[in-house]
Amino acid sequence: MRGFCSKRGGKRVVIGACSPETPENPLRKDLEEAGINGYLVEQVDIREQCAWVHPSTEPATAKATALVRGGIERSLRQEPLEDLSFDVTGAALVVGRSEFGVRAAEKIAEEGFRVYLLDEETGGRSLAESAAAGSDPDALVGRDDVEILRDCRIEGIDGIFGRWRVNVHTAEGSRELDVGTILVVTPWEPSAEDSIGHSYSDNPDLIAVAELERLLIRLEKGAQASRPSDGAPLRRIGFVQRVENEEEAARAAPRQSAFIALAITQALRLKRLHPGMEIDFYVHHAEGFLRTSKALSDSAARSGIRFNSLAAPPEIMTEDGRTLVRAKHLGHDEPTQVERDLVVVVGGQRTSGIAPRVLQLLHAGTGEGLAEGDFAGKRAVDFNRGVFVIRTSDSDEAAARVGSDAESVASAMVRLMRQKTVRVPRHVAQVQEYRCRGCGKCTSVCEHDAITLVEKEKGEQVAQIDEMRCEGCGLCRVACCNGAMALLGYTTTQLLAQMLGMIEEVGD
Amino acid sequence: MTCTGSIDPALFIQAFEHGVDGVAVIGCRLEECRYRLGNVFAEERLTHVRGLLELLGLSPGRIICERVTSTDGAKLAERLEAFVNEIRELGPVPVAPIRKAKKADKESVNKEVKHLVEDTKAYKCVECGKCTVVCPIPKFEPEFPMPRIVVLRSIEGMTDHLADDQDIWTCTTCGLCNSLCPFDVDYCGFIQGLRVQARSLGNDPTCSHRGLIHSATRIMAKTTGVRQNRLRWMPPDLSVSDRSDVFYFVGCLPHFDTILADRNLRLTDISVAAVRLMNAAGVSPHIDNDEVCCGHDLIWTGDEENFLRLMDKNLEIIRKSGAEKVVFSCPECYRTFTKDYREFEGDLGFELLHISEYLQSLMDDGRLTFPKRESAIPVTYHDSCRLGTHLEVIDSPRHLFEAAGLKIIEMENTKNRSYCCGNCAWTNCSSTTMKMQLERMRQAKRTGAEFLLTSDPKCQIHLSCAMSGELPIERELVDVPVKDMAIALAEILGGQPGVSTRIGRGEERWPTPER
Ligand code: SF4
Ligand code: SF4
Ligand code: SF4
Ligand code: SF4
Repeated sequence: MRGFCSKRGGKRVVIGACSPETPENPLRKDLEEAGINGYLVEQVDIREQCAWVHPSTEPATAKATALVRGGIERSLRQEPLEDLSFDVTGAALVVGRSEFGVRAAEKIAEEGFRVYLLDEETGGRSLAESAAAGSDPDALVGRDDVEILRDCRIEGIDGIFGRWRVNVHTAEGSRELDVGTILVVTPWEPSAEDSIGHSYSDNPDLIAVAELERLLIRLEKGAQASRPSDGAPLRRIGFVQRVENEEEAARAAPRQSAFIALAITQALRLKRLHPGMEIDFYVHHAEGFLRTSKALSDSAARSGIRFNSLAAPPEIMTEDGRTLVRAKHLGHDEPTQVERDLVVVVGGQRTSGIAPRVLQLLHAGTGEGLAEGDFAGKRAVDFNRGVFVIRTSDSDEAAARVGSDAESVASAMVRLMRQKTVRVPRHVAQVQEYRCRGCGKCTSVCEHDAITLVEKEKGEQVAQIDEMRCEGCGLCRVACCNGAMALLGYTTTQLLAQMLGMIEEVGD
Repeated sequence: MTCTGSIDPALFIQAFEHGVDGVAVIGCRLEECRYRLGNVFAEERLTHVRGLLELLGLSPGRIICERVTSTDGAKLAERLEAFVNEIRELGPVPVAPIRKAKKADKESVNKEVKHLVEDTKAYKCVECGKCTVVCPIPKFEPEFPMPRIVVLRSIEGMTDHLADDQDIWTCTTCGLCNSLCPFDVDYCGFIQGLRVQARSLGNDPTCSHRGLIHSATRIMAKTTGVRQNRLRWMPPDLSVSDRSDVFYFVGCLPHFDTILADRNLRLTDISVAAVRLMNAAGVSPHIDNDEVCCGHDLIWTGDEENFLRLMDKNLEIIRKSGAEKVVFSCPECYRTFTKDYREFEGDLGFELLHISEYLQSLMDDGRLTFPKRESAIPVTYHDSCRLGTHLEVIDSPRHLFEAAGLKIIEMENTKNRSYCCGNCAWTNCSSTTMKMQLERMRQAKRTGAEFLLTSDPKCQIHLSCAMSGELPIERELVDVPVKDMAIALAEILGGQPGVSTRIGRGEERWPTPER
């Protein structure tokens, strides 16, 4: 391939091979050294797509040919680009001292990087139990390269990806920690006991989001939707925010957003299974949520899920085996009372004090609800840019998974810090200014706060991308009606050409 | 693709247009979106795409969406196998096979352009510059060379630029230059023809909504023997008749409602209103499920081949219906029949009428009367380019408004000197377009009218679109509710209370009729 490029002046290379999505594609790197722009190297996966899944050769080859043809068409329309690059400081911050945080901290320290471990209870198995499992948190105290910070508070986070400056308030005064990567360990499963409380726990038709999750898994496998108490069909479901009083509601509103978001995704899944199901949300102080997650609540509304904004915290009552919701709607004097087959309590107060704050600070400029939503919405996941979140769990079964997540996240962090300068593919959104109408359709779908509307000249606005924030999901590209938004590497023209190429190759 | 949420609805429809029989979307589970909500958006769009497939007469089951994790391999394989069998059962999508697009050679293009110059009398241009003065685009885009420069280039036989000229797509084909040219040059016709040639050289326009609308139209053109589902907008109490001598041509309203579902436009309220108005005058029109798009957006984007297919289908069903009159609520369909169908086919064998013309004739015959009002509601009326400038149907809407007790306050640019809503045939929507739309809304606002009425659903869509997002100027300067003419008239007649257009925020209600 190098010969082809240097002697014959080749500019673009299409490779039919395995999955291209390895973090560092050696082929691409090699070709870059030979003077080819990496974005003009297209790797088509014919291993997983063909060789591994089709038993007979002929159709597999035909499919491979079509895929490669698509790759060629796409490659022809790629533009040379430069990677985004950012420097990574060689130190890590781990928030949350549970078994998983400890395990990650240990591993990072072993690889020779400094670790700050913020001592915060974040759920998961107790520390004694984790000691039994082989991780001894107190053993870390003896290490020079791990500093455990107790009784502290994060005051602020500055900087950009790879170069965070974390301002911590400790008993001894303020400290500034320069770190390159951050791991936040936080519990994710809303807890049934916590959110329902004792008074209701004898009503089987009153469950928490966590229990609904289990029920949903059964339903998605084909189980009948029936009422837990008597097996009658489930027709009307109410999602009710858990609050005791007005004051608590106001205080809990921002953190509730995450749980409401989670509950809405559950409601959408229910609707998918049973379009006829009546689903109502009863929420007090929903403004924060509605503001930060407008897209989600709109989509719920369009699926026929009703969202009732209340003037006072809703009440749940059990009467003669019936489950009732008493709610005072905004603009109404008298509360109304409805019966529901199943009432799902939205909420759970197990998120630790500091973890959401870290994410909120990292998302400077976003609402608190959005940061919390990152917990609710994601699995152990990397944010790609050196910030990682692990959701812990109390269940033994999940603990094993989370444990291995912790280790792989630790390795990912180490990998980033070792590189010093990290290059990220420029698969980010790009605005074509002439086309942009400044309508803001893209900003309303971007979940990563990467787009802002700025004034171009008087009376004219244009969308602007913050490439460091953009995660490259491409939602904005689809939201933009007039083709002003492109996702580099995945433009409409490229995708269409790729598809048509494949269709043509397959023929009739 | 990075996320199922980044799959364009257009891509599905384009796949079917090119002969794909089924599409499987495979992505992450709903609650496990790496980007938080990508797949929620995806699900929603899939619902709309399936709705569109149904309208087009293709089974919505041709798209499946499987949400899996990395351990679900076996399950996925099973599901995909079942899907393949389901598709086999449904059979292939009956689209005409694609011919491998051959690029036209320069010589034939040159010849065609020469004909075009003659047909549209472009050779008569004396460079007086009247067209340049009247064209709305250079105000916002000073480098726009329209219109005479393009004409001159072609007269001099310079067609090289055609392969990548974007200016021919920027023209909104509003027709102002036509109506002002002292030498009768048919500039719009010239551009229309030039676009066909440009397209044959591989010069495609940037289509709004990523080509979804054009692609759906092409499916209508190319499919044979499918059973469309276009009549679901009809409430059961509308009176229609298969033996009527009046054929009501609905156009693409149901499709726009589906494609732009997230905007909640309810454009089919226009067709409901049109039929109610006819019913009120004792007319039960024929409405046909086999009707297809008139082809306006294809001929104006240079796709003559598929345009002709649509034309043949429409002419066939109208002739089969035996109707003597065809009534249109959409000015674009009306123009396409009146000018383009006649150009290709000569006399069509039936009469063509815009709904405003037809209603006026019913009023003149005493069959339609509006309730008397004490005080007139001030409104302003946006003549669409198609109806006002191209066809000069100017008086009948105004007569109707007067009879219905509305007082028209004219805008600065009006009648056959109207001001374009900025878009033609869903192409080249841009920052310029936005500025034109805001300018038009500003004109409307300055009249002090309570409503901006128009008869063109697309003008309504585009103008509302400009108003629906964040505005770069104070909203007070432009904020007038846009409303369809037929809906307004039907509401005044009292037959359809509470139906209104939405624009920007909230719902505007038409004042209740005084009796
Ligand atoms: S690609 Fe996704 S993250 Fe990037 S700007 Fe668009 S919507 Fe936001
Ligand atoms: S959606 Fe498109 S036109 Fe609207 S602001 Fe975003 S990029 Fe610009
Ligand atoms: S048709 Fe309208 S937009 Fe096009 S050149 Fe003429 S005046 Fe300008
Ligand atoms: S004005 Fe709005 S509706 Fe019209 S083409 Fe442009 S984006 Fe689409």
